[in-house]
Order: sequence, then C-alpha cells, then structure tokens
Amino acid sequence: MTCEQLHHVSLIVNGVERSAAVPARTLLSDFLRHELGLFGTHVGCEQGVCGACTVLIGGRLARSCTTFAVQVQGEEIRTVEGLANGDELHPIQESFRRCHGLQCGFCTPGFLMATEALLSENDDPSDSEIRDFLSGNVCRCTGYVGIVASVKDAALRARGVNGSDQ
Amino acid sequence: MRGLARYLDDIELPRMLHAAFVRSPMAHARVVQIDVEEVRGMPGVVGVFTHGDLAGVGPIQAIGPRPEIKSSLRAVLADGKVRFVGEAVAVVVAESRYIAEDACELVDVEYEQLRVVANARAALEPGAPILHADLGDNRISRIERSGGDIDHAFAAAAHVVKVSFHHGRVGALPLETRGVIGDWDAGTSTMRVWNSSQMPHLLRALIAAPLGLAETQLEVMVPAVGGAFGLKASVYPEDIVVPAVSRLVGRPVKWVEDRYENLAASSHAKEIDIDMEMAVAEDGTFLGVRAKNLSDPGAYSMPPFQAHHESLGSVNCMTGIYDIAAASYVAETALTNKAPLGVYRGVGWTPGQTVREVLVDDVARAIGRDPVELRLQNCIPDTPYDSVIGPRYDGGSYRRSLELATEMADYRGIRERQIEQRNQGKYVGVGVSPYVEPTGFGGRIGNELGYPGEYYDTASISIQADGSIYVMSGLNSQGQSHETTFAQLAADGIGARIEEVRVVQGDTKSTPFSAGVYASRSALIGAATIGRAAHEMKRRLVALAADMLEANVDDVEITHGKAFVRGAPEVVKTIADIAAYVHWGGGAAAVDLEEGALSVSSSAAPGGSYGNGCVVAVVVVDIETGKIQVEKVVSVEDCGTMLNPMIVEGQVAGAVAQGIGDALLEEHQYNEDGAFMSASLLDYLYPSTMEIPDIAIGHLETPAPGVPGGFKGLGEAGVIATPGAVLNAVADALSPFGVRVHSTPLGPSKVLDLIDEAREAMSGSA
Ligand code: FES
Ligand code: FES
Repeated sequence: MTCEQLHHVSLIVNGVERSAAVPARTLLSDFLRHELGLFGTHVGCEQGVCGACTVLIGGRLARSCTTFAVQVQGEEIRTVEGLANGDELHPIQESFRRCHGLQCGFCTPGFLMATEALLSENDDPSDSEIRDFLSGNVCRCTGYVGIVASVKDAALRARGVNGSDQ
Repeated sequence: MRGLARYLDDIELPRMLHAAFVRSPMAHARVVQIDVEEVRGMPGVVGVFTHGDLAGVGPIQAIGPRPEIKSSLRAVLADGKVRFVGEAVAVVVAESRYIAEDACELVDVEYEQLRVVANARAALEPGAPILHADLGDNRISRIERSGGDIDHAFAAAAHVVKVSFHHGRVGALPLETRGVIGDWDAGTSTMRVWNSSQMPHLLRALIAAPLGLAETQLEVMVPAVGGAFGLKASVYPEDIVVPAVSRLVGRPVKWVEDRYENLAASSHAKEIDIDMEMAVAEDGTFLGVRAKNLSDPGAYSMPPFQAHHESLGSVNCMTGIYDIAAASYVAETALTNKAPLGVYRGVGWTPGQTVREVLVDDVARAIGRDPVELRLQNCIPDTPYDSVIGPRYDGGSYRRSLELATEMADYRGIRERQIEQRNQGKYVGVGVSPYVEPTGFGGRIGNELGYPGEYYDTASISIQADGSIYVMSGLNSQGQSHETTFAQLAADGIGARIEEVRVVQGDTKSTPFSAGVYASRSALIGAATIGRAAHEMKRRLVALAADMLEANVDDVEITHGKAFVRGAPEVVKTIADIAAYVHWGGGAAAVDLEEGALSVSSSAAPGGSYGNGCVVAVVVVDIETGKIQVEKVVSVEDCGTMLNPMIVEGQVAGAVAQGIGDALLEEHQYNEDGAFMSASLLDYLYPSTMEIPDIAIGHLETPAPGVPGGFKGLGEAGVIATPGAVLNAVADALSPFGVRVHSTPLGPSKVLDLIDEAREAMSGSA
C-alpha cells in the first residue's frame, strides 16, 4: 500500500460513524473486515455469486465484495454485528438458532441480512417467496431446509404469532 | 451467528504479511525460466520465492498402502514442470494481499508447452505423454478382485444387462475456502500454524518432514471452519509453502485461497468411468455382478489419501443391499493433466452406488418388473451379512428402510397418477436408491475394503477445581456441531449437566491425537473415546462422593451434576463440591493419584460400522426445455442409535442437496487442451434454494453391535444415494421414450439429447 494514494472513507456502520484511509480499490468487504475489524461479514467467492458478504447499504441488500468502500462514502451500512442487541439475539437470529438454520455458520451472516430485508418488505412470505428471495445466497451445509424453516419462524414471530417449538 | 465466530481469515497477527501464488495457465509444460526481477524492488513486496528458493522444503508424497498402488511425488512449487492449470509456480509475500496479487502479475514465467493428457483413457493409450517419468507409465493403480463363481453366474443368466457410465468431476466446494497462517518463532524454534484442516494431528504429521521439523516443533491450530466435506482432509502445497516462507521472512504470513484457486487448484472429486453388468435369472434373482472402472485422478496423488480412492471405493460397494453370490472387478486409475482428485463426502461410494442403482432400474425395465419389488426380492437379510466382495455388514434395516421410504414418498400413488399425467404432457418420475455405507472408518473396515492400516483416536476429560468440565478431542468440527454432540456424550456419561461441559478441539498442542474427521468418523469415535473416558470419570466421582457422604460406592448415584445416596436425595454433593474436595480438601487421596484424580484419557480404535437407508426422489421433466425439477426427496436413515435428531437431520439435508448438485448441476470442466473451464461460481453451479426441494426424513435405529452406545454415524449417505434416486427418477419420467441415463451431471441440454437419441433409436428400430 506504500505507493498507493489513500482515500479517507467514512461510513455509518451499525449506527456508529467509522472511518479509515484506504486505497481506492479497497472492497467494502475488506474495509469492514480488515480495517474496521468487523469479521462477521464473510467472503465466500469475491465473484458476486455466493451472497456470504451480503450487507445492507442504506437499507438495501448489497454484496460488499463487489462494492468499493469509496463508493459508499457517508452511507448507512448494516452488518450482522448490528443485529443482536448486546447479548440478546435479534429475533431472526433466535429463529435460526431454534430451527437449525445453520451448521458451519459461514453463510449465516448473509442469510440473516437477506432475511432482515425480506421481512421488512413482506412479513408473511410463502415458502416459494422465501426461496425466491434467498436464491442469491448459497449454503453448502444445510440443504436450505433449516434456513427456510428459520425464516418462516422469524416471520411468524415478527407478526407476533408464537413460532415453532421452543 | 452473531458474527463472532473466528474463521481463519479473521485471524490477524502483529506484523503479519500476505501471500499470493503465481499459478500455471498451462495444463502441461516445461518451466523454462522464471523472471522475478521486476517484483523484487516493488514497494510493499517482502519476498518472492520459486522452487529453487525453497531448498529442502517438500516434496509431498503419499505412501501407498498396497503394492498395486503407485504414488507420485509433488514439489510444493513447480520443479521444472507444471502438470495442471492452477499448479503453484511461485509465491509472493507482501504487506497486503492486494500488493501480493499485483506482484504475481509481474512474475514472468516462460513455458514450453507439452502434449496434454486430457482424460484417463487417453492416458493409457500407447505413446501417451507420461506425466511422471519415475512412475514408468500413467497407470497409477490397478486392483482386481473376485468372489464367488462369476463365470458360472453369467453362464447361467437368463438376462445380462449392462451400463457404461461416466460420473463427472465435481468438487466439495465448502463456502469457506482453505487458508493457512504460518508463524515461525525463531526464539523457541517453533512453527505455529493455523490451518482450516479437518485433521490437525494428521496434517502436523504430514507437513513436519517436508518442513524439516519435528512434530514437537509444530503447533497446528484449527479455528472455526466454514464447511469442509473432505476438501480440507488432504495435504496441499500451500500447507507447507506458507509456513516455510514465514520462516524465511521472519514474520507471520497468511494465505487465504480465493475462489478461483479453490475451483482450479485445490482438489476435485469423483471423476470415473464405470462399466457394470448384472447377470439375472429368469425369476429376477441377481446371480452376479461385474465391474470395470477407470478413474481420472488428475496429475498427482494427494496424501494422506491416494489416487485410487474413487476406483477402489466404487467397487467396494458394488453389491449394495443385494444378496449376490458372485462379483468381480477391475479398478484402474490413470493420471491426467487435471487438478488432483482429493476426497469429497461419499468417496468412491457415490459413483459406485449411482451406477449400481441405475443398473438395477435398467434390469427392472429390461425384464418388466417393478423396480421396488425387484429390489426387495434381492435384498439381504437385516442380520449381519458378509458380501462376496469385501464389506461385512453388521446388521441394519435394509428392507425396512426401502419400504418406509417408498411409503413416505407415496410410491404407489405416484405410479397410479403417472400415466394420467403423461397423457397431459407432464413427465413425472420416481426413483429409489437404497444404500449401505461404511461409517466411522477404522481398522476393521479399512481391511475389509482394501485399505490396510490401523487407526486410533484419543479423548480426554478433566474436571477443574470449580467443577467445570473440559472435554479435549482431536476431532474438530466443520459444521457438524461436535461441540453439542460431544458435550452431550460427556455429560450423559458422567452424569453432569451439559452447561458445565466445554469442548476443546482442533489444536494439536492441547488436544490428544485423532486420526481426523472424515468418513463419518466423529459420532462413532467420539462415542468410543469420550464415552469411555466419561464412564471412567463417573466411576471416580462416585468413589469420591461416597467418601464425602460416608456411604458405600454401590449406593451412590450421580445425575444432573449432583451425587447423592440412592433413596436419600436430600443430601447432595455437586460436581463442584467433589472437585473442590479433590483439589483443596485432601480428597484426592480417595482416588489413585497416579491415575490423575479428575483427569481421564481414553483411546479407542473402533473398527467401524455400516449405516444404511434409502433415498427416494420424485422429479418432473420438462421435455421442451430439458429442465428437471426435483419435487420431493425422502431420505430414510439408519445411523444406529441417534444422539440428536436435529443434528442428524441437518447433516442428511445438506448431503441430499449435494447429491442433487452432483446429479444435475455440478461439474468441473476441462476442454481437450486441458484448459480449465469452471473458474467461477457462475460456471460451476452450486445448488441454490431453487433447486433443492423440501426434504422429508425418516429415522430407523438399528444399534451397531460392538460399538459403545450403538452409534453408527452418518454424514455421507445423502451424497452417496441421492444421485442414483434422482437419475432413476429422470429415466422413469422419460421411460415412454426409452431413455437410459449414463452420465452426470444431467443438465437440460443433455436431457434433450437423451430424448432425441432415444426417439431416433425408436424410429430406427420401428
Ligand atoms: S463473497 Fe460476495 S458474493 Fe460471494
Ligand atoms: S451453514 Fe455452512 S455454508 Fe451454510
């Protein structure tokens, strides 16, 4: 990095202003992970395909591996670290825990963020709406069964109905 | 879940540098020269290394367990020759990964192209270029075996049905790629290594010599692992190069594989051609089965497994759940200019099972029988059974699992509706695939299946002064929830509460030896080692509690972390009380201190077991577009005693999804020049939510005899059995056209070709 020009990037990440000086080509995923130490956002491909790096930028779903940090100057970013409230899991995380929505956990941050986006626009998605919405995130471990069940459970809870078995 | 788990790329050490590799764009070439001058002075570059700079490091060699299996040497950076696209030629170490990758672009390598061996058949042709001159030819293994009177079986047959099948080249492709950090400590002459491996102890043993270190100088630590499925159970050049260059530059060095490297240059799996034929009596009895296969293991043997794994594995399971009196095989492997074949969930067993089950359906159609009835007619009994060709099953629910799976899938109902739907232009098909799989790979099973060797594992349990419990196991988790399973095993065995147990795994310094996590070893071996240690721990706690309660040991009970005299549960000593008594109260005298008071180790070398079950798939084929939609999958599993149904179901569903990918989507493709065509996840298709249906799971439990707790384990069955079920369902759907399926993956264009071919054949014969 010695000879590259550095750019001052400042973002609101999970409600807190964070900044660092980085080369223009720094990916948002690398910025979050290696400049800010927010390792919850994972990188599975850097090819824009797997969805592991999914975050919310200004409330919209985005792949942080195909976004440069300088492109989102000043934007509000939400990452998986912003979901839980201290030790208290976010309701979507609760559902993933209860319904076995994860195994190795590598894809999970991306799925959690995608689920958050889905439920904010549709609080009663059908199975096929869930599958359709999540089709840009891949999971190699679960066969999606636990994930779809988790999202349904989270939707039930978001509507104030009691979810599946405790 | 909260984003707090630490995977390999989340580890940052002070003064850490980053490595990137220069990789071969050529499939087969001589490396004439490598010019690194332009890179040396680059700002931010700390070092650049080629084969000549790593004197004394490597090579990698797999040691063959049998004389019929040869093994190649593999330099950790190309030594004058490259043998597949993606092979590592040089490594750059720099202040950032970005700079290291820039520098790699500037390394100038001059190649002189050699003739390419594009597939295993070409590898055996006279005059084919020889990949490794020291091996003499490209045939790296050839194993033959036969059992029973095979000639008689075929002579007596009323029907002989054959299939020639190509199982495509796939990859395990965990979502987290591989990664290595090396950190040489010159002060203590110790190498600390972080590696996303499935087998920290075995890795340490296998990289020590190539690094010129004693095992005691090497500490291998495995952080959280984002899936593995076998990919992380081999030894790769980077596992050695990264620590070696850390030593050379005197700083920690990290390398995380990018997705291109993972696709092109880690390991592939399962590519094999199989010819199989079945001799069948007039009444449908299977009289004999014969197989000849040829696997394409790419350019090198991968330790600790070998180049022959697909070919030998696929014939080991050739009789499946069927009672067949004679069988014979020839299993061959021939080197080519492709990435090496490693292991991926269901090694060998996936193509072997797939081809056998496709053949059984072909037999059923050829003699006009229902495929389920034909299978039941030939099914082995549920009692222990010795197959004629190696495996000695320890009893299961072979028949019942087939019956249950077809019931759950409404097999009869589908058959009734099928004709009607066809008349409306909807092609629905149903396919079944009953299986037996070896689990908990150990010495006994290894010997049965032609992999002589003995393996053992150890676990230890210790109770701290406050009563909290450590379980140390060298078996580490890559998403199989060992923390939960092992804690439960220990808590149940000791009589403790699960909350008090903490499982430590994946670190060669603090955990005892384990042969690794592969081949569904964890449940069975965890049970054997942890179960035994827990049992002994309980015995000691009871003795101590008896001393404290002034009671007879036989009268003391311990459950949920509390010890009491049977019949008098009011007076209680908790495990914390007992631990304090031992550590500070002089109570240690009550147990034999030489045994270590509250610390117990237990080793076991379980022989292994066989799980079984059945997968049923229902598909709809669109004959206009060739698109196959899998509508339903039912999987019935018998993994012996079940520890935690939630975890079992998660493993099953994940494996079924991989099986669907194997059958319909996934393939690592090379062209005739050895160029690699699957360089991104857009080219190599991962199953998404849209291809995987809801998966119904049924459980049967036949406890394993001779295994503590009766556990058999599972984890691979879905990958092994699902492709056969899906392919049979497709052939069933397209049976009006007379379609036979003979390769994977079955993408839409291939389906259309099959329909065209079958139509032509029909009109030709009409
Ligand atoms: S890491 Fe961004 S899509 Fe895969
Ligand atoms: S849980 Fe491992 S990739 Fe989804």
